[in-house]
Amino acid sequence: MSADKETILTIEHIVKRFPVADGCMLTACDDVSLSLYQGETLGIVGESGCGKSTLVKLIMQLHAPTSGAICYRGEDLTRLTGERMRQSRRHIQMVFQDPSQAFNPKMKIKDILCEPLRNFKLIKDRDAGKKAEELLRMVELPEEFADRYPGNMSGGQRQRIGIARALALEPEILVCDEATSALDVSVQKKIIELLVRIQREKNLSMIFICHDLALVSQISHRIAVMYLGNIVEVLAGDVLNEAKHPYTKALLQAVFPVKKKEGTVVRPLEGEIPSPLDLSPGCPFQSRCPESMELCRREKPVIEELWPGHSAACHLLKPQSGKNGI
Amino acid sequence: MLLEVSDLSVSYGEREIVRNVNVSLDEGEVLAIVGESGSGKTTVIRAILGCLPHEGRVSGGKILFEGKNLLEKTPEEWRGLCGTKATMVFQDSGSILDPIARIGSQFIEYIREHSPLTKKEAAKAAEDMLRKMHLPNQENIMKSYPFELSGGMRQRVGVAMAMFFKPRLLLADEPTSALDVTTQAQVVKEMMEICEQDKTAIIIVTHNIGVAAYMSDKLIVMQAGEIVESGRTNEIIARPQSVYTKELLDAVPQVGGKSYVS
Repeated sequence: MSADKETILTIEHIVKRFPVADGCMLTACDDVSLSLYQGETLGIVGESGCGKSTLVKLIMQLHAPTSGAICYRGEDLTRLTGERMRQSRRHIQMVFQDPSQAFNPKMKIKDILCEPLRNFKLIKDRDAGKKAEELLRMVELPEEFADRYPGNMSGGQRQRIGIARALALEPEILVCDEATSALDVSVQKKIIELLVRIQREKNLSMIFICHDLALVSQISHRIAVMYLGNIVEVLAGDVLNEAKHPYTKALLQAVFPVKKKEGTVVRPLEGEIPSPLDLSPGCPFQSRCPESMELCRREKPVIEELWPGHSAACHLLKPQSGKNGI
Repeated sequence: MLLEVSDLSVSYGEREIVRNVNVSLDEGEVLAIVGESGSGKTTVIRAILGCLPHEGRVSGGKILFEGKNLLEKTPEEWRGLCGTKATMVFQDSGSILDPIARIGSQFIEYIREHSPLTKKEAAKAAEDMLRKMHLPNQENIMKSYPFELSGGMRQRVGVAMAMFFKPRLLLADEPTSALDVTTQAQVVKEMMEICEQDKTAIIIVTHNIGVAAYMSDKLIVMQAGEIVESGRTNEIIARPQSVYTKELLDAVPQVGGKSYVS
């Protein structure tokens, strides 16, 4: 399906470990590989503490990975330094979760919007007002907002400013870390519609981190499910209901549907996410998996393609064409 | 009728935030209040438990709990009511717990404040309550500080404390909003289980319509301080009458719903 599309970003075997007190290592991302295609939305879901945000910070080069590579159009971002690294940031921009904390309260909206352009010397001071108005129009806000401060705006309006600022440099990749989680559902819907419209117009690639499975399934072309620093399943957004990995299935069963359908049972996933400090060998999900086997405790499953466009890391699931050619 | 709120209005200073709210609740019934932030949902349940912020006050109406008007009660009478007959679960139970005292000592203090149990008896009863909430390693939890527990665990401890005295009325203010879906399902199920056992009535304030639909018998939809729709939950979900309710239901994302991108 997406094979004919151009790959814009590849994450290759990224590992990130943080040192913690008493010499332990915390593994936040464990051998994560993903690719992002031009014009596509890649959703990343998982419980808190599964490494979603660490992955984003690695992509944004806010953390250096322990090992592995992140290639933007063939160039490994993790090896860049100095001015070349700074210039590379123009291509990947971010929208943050909490719009009330993402701005300097003492800066006017027009200065907030033009700051990224000023950083790269792409704008003259006398053009700033005009550019700000153009950006405001793009996110469907009135032009008068240019002279306001972020303090006297609603959450939804502020998130629009966040999107406008992220798009000021015309990046190719937009990373949204829980960009709508702090908003009401009706405001969330409008922000999503805006993002989808801008994506179509600019052929933008998006990485959308979210813990709301329903929302992710509705806006993503592909979804990656993370658990304890591992990608456990990658599948198309519109077939999330047909997920195969036990963890994804457990997540889906924990969602309360608005309209009850016959035969839907809400079943919580027992137990807690294990500590990322002392990872046991074998499958990361073994301690909570209802179908865990002896093999799962010994050997960690690798992520394999079940069929085109759907991969999972689970011993229960084997690719349809057997390896020994049966 | 366990609780009857009629024509309730609440003001902050000169501004009237909540107007003409009517709520009635029978024993063991579950009522959900949904609406956007700023619609006055939390203000309503805070007014019922008499814990409005300083500048807030009830400016009109009556709140009858077990037939008596709460607004005429003296502070002593309030103390006999809050924490035993009517209790509250907050969005983040971590912030109601003392960060530098162990869970056990806080739980025991709470129990002894409202009952004549000895320290030992209270500790035993607290552990039993945690077991009833299906929390693992009760002794360990009692010895832990709040920051040592995960958000989900803290919330379950908060529910356990609120349910300890088998209250007649449990007020829950966004009890699962800060939690992951899996933990949310767990907390909701445990809350329902214990309330059914004890015949506790619940008012839950939430912006998660799925949770509201699952838990509640009755539903109230609020907008800008007023009730726009109220009635049986399944009827409102199936046939919303007001424009606002329709918009609200329409905005909730659903697995397998219409995709924005294809």
